[in-house]
Amino acid sequence: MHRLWRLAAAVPAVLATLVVTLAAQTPAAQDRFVPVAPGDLQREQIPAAPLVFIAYAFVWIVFVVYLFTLWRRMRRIDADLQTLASKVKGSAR
Amino acid sequence: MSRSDRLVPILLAIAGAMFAAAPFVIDTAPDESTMGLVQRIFYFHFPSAMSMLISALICGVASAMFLFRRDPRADRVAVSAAELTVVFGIMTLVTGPLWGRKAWGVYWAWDARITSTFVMWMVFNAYLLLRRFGGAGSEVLAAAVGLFGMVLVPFIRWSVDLWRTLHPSTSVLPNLPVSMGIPLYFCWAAFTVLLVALLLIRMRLERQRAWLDDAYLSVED
Repeated sequence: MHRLWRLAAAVPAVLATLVVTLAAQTPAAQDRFVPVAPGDLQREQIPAAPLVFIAYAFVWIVFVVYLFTLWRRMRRIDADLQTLASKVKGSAR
Repeated sequence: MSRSDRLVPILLAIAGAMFAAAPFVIDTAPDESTMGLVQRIFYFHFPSAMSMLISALICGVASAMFLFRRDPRADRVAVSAAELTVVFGIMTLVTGPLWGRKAWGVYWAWDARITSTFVMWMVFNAYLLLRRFGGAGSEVLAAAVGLFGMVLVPFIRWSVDLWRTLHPSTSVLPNLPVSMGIPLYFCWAAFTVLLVALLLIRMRLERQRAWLDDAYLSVED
């Protein structure tokens, strides 16, 4: 029973140590953006241009696809409205 | 045609023009000293994240109004805003990791802001799934989910100040140099105009759908 209690007490202590250790390993967050001085750009290990291109292209694609789905849903509702109108006309005769 | 319906093409034209001009405006910004070119993702990442948070707030407020007043118009606003939260959320969750790959060396880190944003995005996906497959009466349950999703907004906003994270802190924006501020606010304005236009279109769709359902019911009667 005592062993169980000790184990129960040890778990939060281990977790706390783990959290503190992980937090200490995390680099500090940047608190401001500074423009680069001319000539200070170093050679890049991971090329940035494709990442920037993909990010901008993705946003554009999402907008276009979303607008297309909105347009399609509107057309479907218009078609339903026409079906309903013809139904009403048919029943009126 | 209502006034909001007449406003939509104008807003879409303004947003389209602003998005077409955005690359040229962003091009005027200097590279950031430590991150270089990849920091330019910020000019689309931040506005999409803000649009996501604003949509979530709109959904939460409209959900609360629906829960307390049972106003169907509030429900239509809520479901439209929830969908936009998911749309802007996917942009945020994709552009962020692309930036992180270069800036942090990894696509994904389970830091407080990324995790809370992901959780909120999942909550709004749950909202939409509930609306789609929940059956009759699901709008009340979904409204509660929307309200819960909105609660995460301040948590996401201040998570970078409360915990030690990889994300830039909230002091970045007030300290932004003018040369970087102009493109950012320009893109933010473009995203906001588009957000309003999409919200109006989506609300119109819900309105028409509700009208159609009522019409079918009255025809069957």
